[in-house]
Amino acid sequence: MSSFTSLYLGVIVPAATCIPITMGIFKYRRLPRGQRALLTYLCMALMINAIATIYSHHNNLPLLHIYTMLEFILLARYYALVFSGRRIVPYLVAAAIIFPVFCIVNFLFIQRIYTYNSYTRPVEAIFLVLCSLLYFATPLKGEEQWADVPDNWVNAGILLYFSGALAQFSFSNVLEATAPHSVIMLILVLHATLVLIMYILFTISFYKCSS
Amino acid sequence: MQQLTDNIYVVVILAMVGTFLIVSILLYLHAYNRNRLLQQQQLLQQTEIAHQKKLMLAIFASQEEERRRIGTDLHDSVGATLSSLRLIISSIPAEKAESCKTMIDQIITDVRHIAHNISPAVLNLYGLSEAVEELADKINQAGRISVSTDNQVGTQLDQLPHAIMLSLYRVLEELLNNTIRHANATAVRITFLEEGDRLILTYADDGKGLPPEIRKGMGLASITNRLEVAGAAWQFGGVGQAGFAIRIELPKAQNNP
Repeated sequence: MSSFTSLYLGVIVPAATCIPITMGIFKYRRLPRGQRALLTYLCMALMINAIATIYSHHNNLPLLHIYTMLEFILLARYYALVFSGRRIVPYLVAAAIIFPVFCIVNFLFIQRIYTYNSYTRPVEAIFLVLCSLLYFATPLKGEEQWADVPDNWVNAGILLYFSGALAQFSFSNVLEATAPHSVIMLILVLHATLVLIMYILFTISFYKCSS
Repeated sequence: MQQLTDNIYVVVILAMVGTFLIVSILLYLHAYNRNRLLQQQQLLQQTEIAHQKKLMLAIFASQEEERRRIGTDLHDSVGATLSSLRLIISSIPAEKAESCKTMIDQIITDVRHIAHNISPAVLNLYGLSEAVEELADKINQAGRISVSTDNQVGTQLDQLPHAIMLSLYRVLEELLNNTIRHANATAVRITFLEEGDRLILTYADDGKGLPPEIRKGMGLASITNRLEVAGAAWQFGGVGQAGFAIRIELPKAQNNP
């Protein structure tokens, strides 16, 4: 692995979590409840990323299983707040209870905890892509330009990342077993770039929270 | 098998890059469409507001026309009949006629006042500056409140379109009414001045001021309606102002006759 690729995957992208967190803290008083839930998710991501970096010389995939559960719960909470008052909220709450059970069953009985969770992660991605599409399908409210609505940026980030990375989530174990190292690195760089884009879009979202 | 695994790499990379591009384009189109929809909604709103302004203007014009007609009728018809009646009464015995004549004189004076107030002839004849002076003089004659006017724009006031002059006159009339009825004030100052491309009218009294809940309520609805239709901007209160104050700004460009 070239030094830049290792720096990019191991330091730059995990550390980029600090960019939206800093903006979120800076604007904290102006953040609506949904955005605050997103900030909680980013703090969790930073913590798991930090632990994963510390344990990068060992198999740290168990962390990904835990991360997937927490990510789902916190982003479902974000959507429950964004869709507040709508019929979908009870389903989001139910999903936030059922999915972690599915994750636990998966790493106990279906996929080993030391392998990539290629069953649960794509399910999570599909669920979040559907939530973001539902958000964008909601009719226009207010008189703001698209770019002035903070939640538009959040959902653009979620939609871009989870739809773009869905193929990687699904075929990760197959690629790990069969692909040359350089191809795996290329796919990891693509994935990291999607993460970086999502974090930049989250930063813009926090920046747009001005009232 | 080699061929199959090669294809899987390509498929995964293509799926990632392709999905990213497709979603990016969809997001762009979504943003573009929402912004365009928003622009159309704003355009529609502006058209509706312009239409409402036209309607209001038409309502005000017809109101003024009706007032003018009633004023003329009162003055020409009722006034003339009363004058004739007075002449007839002059021919009956003096002691009986005197009280009737006094009453008729009172009615003639009242009719003249009503006719004048309904349609301010001085505005039509001499323009806004003279009409405001006359309004101030009338209140000063009563002696309870002292109204002072300061016209720093000269005849520019009289060159305004008639509808605008009438709107400003009615607004001032309403403001003075409010001051007399509610403000417990002793002095009113009306100033006309010029700031760049705007005509400014300031009105200030030294009364008890206007409570905020009335500002939001219906109390000043007729004033704000007239100002809105005239295309004026307004602001209540003034720096260090104890009583009631309003600053009205009229863009000169739109008010060239």
